[in-house]
Amino acid sequence: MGKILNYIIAGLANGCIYSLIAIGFVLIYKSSSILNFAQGAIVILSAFVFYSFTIQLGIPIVIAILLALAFGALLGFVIERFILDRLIGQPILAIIILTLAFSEFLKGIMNLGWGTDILSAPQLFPRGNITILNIATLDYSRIAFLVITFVLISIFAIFYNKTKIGLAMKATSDDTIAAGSVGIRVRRVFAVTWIISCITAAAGGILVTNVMGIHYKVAEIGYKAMAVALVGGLQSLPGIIIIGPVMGILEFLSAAYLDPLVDGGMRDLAPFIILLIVLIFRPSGIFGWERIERI
Amino acid sequence: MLELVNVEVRYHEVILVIRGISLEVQQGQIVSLLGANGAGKTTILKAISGILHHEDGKVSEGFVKFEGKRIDRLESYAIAEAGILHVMEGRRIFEHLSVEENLLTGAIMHGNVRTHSDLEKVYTYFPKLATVRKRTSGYLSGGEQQMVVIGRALMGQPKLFLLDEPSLGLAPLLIKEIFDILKTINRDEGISMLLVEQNARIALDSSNYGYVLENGRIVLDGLSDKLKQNEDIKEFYLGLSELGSRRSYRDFKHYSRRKRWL
Amino acid sequence: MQTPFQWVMLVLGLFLTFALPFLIPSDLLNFFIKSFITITAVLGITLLTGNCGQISLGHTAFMAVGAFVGAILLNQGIPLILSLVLAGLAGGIVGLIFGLPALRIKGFYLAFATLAAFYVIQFILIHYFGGVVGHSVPPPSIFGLSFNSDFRIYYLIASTCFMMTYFTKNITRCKWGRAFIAIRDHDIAANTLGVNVYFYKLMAFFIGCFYAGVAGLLLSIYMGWASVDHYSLTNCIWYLGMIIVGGMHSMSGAYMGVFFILGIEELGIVIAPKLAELFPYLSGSMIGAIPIIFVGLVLVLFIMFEPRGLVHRWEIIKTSMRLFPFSN
Repeated sequence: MGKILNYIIAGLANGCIYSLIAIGFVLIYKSSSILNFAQGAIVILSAFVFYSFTIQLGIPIVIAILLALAFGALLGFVIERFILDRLIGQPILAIIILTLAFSEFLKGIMNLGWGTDILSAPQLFPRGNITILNIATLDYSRIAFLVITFVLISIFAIFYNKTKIGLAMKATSDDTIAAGSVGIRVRRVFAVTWIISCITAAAGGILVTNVMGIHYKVAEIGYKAMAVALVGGLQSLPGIIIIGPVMGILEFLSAAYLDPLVDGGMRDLAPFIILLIVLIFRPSGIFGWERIERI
Repeated sequence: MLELVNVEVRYHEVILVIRGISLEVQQGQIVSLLGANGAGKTTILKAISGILHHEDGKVSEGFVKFEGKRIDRLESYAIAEAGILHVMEGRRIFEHLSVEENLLTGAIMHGNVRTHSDLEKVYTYFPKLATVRKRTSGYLSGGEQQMVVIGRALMGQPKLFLLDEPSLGLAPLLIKEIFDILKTINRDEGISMLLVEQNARIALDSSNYGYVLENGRIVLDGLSDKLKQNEDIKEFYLGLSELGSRRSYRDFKHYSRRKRWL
Repeated sequence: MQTPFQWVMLVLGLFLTFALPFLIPSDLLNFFIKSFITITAVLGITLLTGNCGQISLGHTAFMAVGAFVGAILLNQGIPLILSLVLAGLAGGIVGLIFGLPALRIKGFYLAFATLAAFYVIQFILIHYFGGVVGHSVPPPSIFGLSFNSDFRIYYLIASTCFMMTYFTKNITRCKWGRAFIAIRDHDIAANTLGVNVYFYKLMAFFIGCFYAGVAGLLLSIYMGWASVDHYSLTNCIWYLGMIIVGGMHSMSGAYMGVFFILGIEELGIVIAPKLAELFPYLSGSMIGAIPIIFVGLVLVLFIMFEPRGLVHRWEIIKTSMRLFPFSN
């Protein structure tokens, strides 16, 4: 009993990070119909940058975190300014390959800059754990994940639903041209969208590398976040927030119970299998809005 | 207030759609732009509001001036900020937002000071909207959606409305209701309007001045009352033949009156 | 082949290809071997994605399937040509199974489903077919002639590649090819016109992945070893990039794209050691990273500035030469 609970909590914590990263991904999709396959690379790149700030340059952790987030924001801005213009209106294959190629490019840069060994992230949370009711143990780091992602997602939700910029983002993703005609500066909205998306990626990266170490292979977490986004349906942000933890839990449970049967590796595979199964029954994702195509 | 002088519009650099037109909307006027399908009426509105480039179109000759300043090279949001609000064909509502959120998007560009009173003003003009203010806009009826987009434009503190076929797909009573409200808005708020309509009757009844567009050229213009009396307008756009009687094609003198304006 | 000029070019090309090993230094031969193998795989992508519009991010996984099946068969002594065909069939059938999602989803969802397929197939190969260590592949032989040197392997691979090219040409010219294009352009409309979309989508996957299976076996013959390490996700991305760089809808696009991108990669491999000397303080493996950085950057730039590919650029050049002096 205790073991299951441990798995559930661990999965929950990881899943929340998936949600965080997936939010950035869905925001970009909703506003500009672009699929940022490079999201995972940005996650890890930010973690590497954070590592450099703290371990290599000796900057105090709190400032380094802010700097890493600022790096994310800058990256998002640069991508929007220089690459986005050329992408609008292009066939979907071109967009997918561009972001994928960009992702590989970033991974190459990371390889070059920081090598192929797994680096350990600076310690952010106290080691150790607390025991609940003698049934389960909670790592402090896992608790931190839950709390931090909850806070970040809440901040984002308030921003999106209560501010003017949030409203502008919603309007732009519904109808870009109509948004322009009521005076919304659409380019600015795109820039904000990318900046937020990369900040969430950076935050996710700093958190997740705390348990997984920093290595460019961890960029595959981006694909897991995308799987979360797809299972949730690319339209609904609240849906993504629910699906993330669910997928995380399923991932850990399948690793725990199916790994012995198949000799390991289920944890990385589980999100993809879940995705394939969900797509059979709900091709637009669980919370997705159905598209009506007119001929 | 709004002036188009010798404007030509091309799509894809080669397709000439508007072949040199000049028109004018004066302060406080409602001007209607009539014409059959494909004449180019919507294109003119898009040229004014700056959204042609989304369809690879541009004003290739001539210019558009608003309050003395050229606007034909500006971005659409700048034109909206200058006071021209385009209520587009087919309503273009923000489907997933509620009615109130839709209205509030109109106020984004101007900041907070008058937003609340503007919102109340819109609900006064369109009481029906107040009853559905929290509903998701995509589920509203056509008439309600039309009210939302007009209200959204009102929230932008406009000086000039560009209205593209507001009557499209609406029941006759609802059309009359909306046009009455438009006339009231024009009278009380002093907002000028350029109205594109296929429903010539309601357009001429509601406007002061009218232009008739055919194949990208203005072929007739004048005070709306005069246009209503014009024989050709009556025949082509209002559906009235000489004595309101049925015509037999045997009696028809083919070339007694020119059928084309050119 | 429409003009005499094109026939001459074709014959010249064939002649050059077969004379190549005598004309160039032997280390360059590797580049061409790799290129022809890749062309075979990319022709499959041209059919599946370029012509039929089904985005497939898992191509190298199907290559791996073909490689493993082929390796096992060859080790059992099955003749080469039969092994190649069976490897292709294996790739095709697995491709068909994982192409089933295409019946319900499109675009990004499909691309991601194929990515998922890649991981699932890789997992199965690793855990059930001895994937990480892999299988050794003995040099195959036809009628007693053993392909045990690069020189001979080159001819095997080039000939196979040309045969597959010939098939591709025929497929695109016939009813199936037109059905593929109809589906790419608007599958709902194609359905209403009587094209059996389900059938042709699955066939596109089958054929495209057949090519992958054959190419996969060819690669493992060349390498002497079949292992999942040779079939990476990065290459899947590069293959799709190649058809974009070359031009999505044509075989010449596939050829151009493959040579161009592999050329860039080769450039990266060659330059890397020199760069490592210049910048000794950059840690990490230059040899691994630099080619990826080069190719990734080139792809990004290409899509930004010439998304229709080299074929399109070439058409523009040809047209402006024809129209001279009226072209701008």
